[in-house]
Amino acid sequence: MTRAPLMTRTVPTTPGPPEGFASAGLDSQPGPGTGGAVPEDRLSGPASALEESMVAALNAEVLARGDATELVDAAYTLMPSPMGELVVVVTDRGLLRIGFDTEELSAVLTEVAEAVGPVVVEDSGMTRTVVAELGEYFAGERRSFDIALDLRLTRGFRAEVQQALADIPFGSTMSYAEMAAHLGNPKAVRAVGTACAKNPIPLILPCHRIVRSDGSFGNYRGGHDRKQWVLDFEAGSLPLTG
Amino acid sequence: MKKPPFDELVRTHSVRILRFCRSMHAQPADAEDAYSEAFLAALRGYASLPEDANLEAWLITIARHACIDVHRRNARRAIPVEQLPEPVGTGPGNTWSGGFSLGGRPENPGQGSEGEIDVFALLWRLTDRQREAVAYHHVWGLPYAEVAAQVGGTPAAARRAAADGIAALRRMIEEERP
Repeated sequence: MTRAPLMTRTVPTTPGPPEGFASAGLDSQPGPGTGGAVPEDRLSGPASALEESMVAALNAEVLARGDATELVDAAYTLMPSPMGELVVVVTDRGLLRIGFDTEELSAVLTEVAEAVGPVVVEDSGMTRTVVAELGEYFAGERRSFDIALDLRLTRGFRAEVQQALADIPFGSTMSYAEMAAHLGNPKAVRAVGTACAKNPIPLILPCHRIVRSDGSFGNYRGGHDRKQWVLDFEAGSLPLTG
Repeated sequence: MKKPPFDELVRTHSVRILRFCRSMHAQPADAEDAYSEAFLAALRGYASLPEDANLEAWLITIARHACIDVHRRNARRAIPVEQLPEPVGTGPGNTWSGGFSLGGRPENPGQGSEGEIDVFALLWRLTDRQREAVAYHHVWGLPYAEVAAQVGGTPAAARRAAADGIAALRRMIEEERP
């Protein structure tokens, strides 16, 4: 069952889709003197860029207050990277989730809300440290991370695999079979593969450093091209991005 | 069924809440205060909101209370005068107690900061009854029966007030044009 009522008003006063709130820019507004200015459009039509930036600024101001922070279950930020836009999600315990843009943002946030609580907000303050360290990583200035992790999105053997990933150093790789053996469970090659494919914190838990015994890549949450890019990047065959 | 992430509410409803606050406060700064208060109240209440709660009803309640709070705060801060002004023409049955005139009229109605016509400033040239009917119906999206429950009177009267308000706004927009 999906929850549609959120997106609909009791009485739709304009035919435009509610999603239009997110995308309309100033360009879409009739300028002065262009004719056809209907007051209803300004009252209930798509948000202007000015309105979007105003609510974002007001929300950020509220979230920056100390008493607001403790109301938040998880905070996320969208950050650009050479691997495309990343969503970074943190809680008061640490980094919970990194998502590539191969995943729907709403699906990532729903997964987060179901695991840690519904108060999930966009906020650049709480994610600042993680975003900074990832920026240094992509700039070639950082090879390991100094970030507390919140592992509530994983459990059991998968969690064991994902935590062991942190032992594979920058620039080197291991096979799925080697990881299974490393964990004392040499028959669990397939389970290692699944754990890598479902890694909630790629890059920081470097599942990209696990490859097939024949050298081919295997599954990656961000897709084959991103895995290739990050392995090439760590092998030093890519120019550093500024 | 778990509640959707709070962020989904923010994306879907925050601009509408800001617009509602602008319809209830003559001064944009007061509207922003009310919006911030509503956002904090929603943040505070969302975790304990029942999963089958009516989100629309919850949000309008939060927005209304935030607006009332800001009006009360402004009223307390206002310099005492010997004779309090009468609440301006809101009529009987108005659940807002006429409080929405306390902020005064905007200094420069109709002109946004970028020379754009600011329809939310023009709202303050309507009667309070028209403005509130427009706010609840056009800005918030309530059907007229519920608008009437908020502003008093019959649904037909609420419809008429909103229609008159929109017609007046349309004329003002024409006049504001260079």
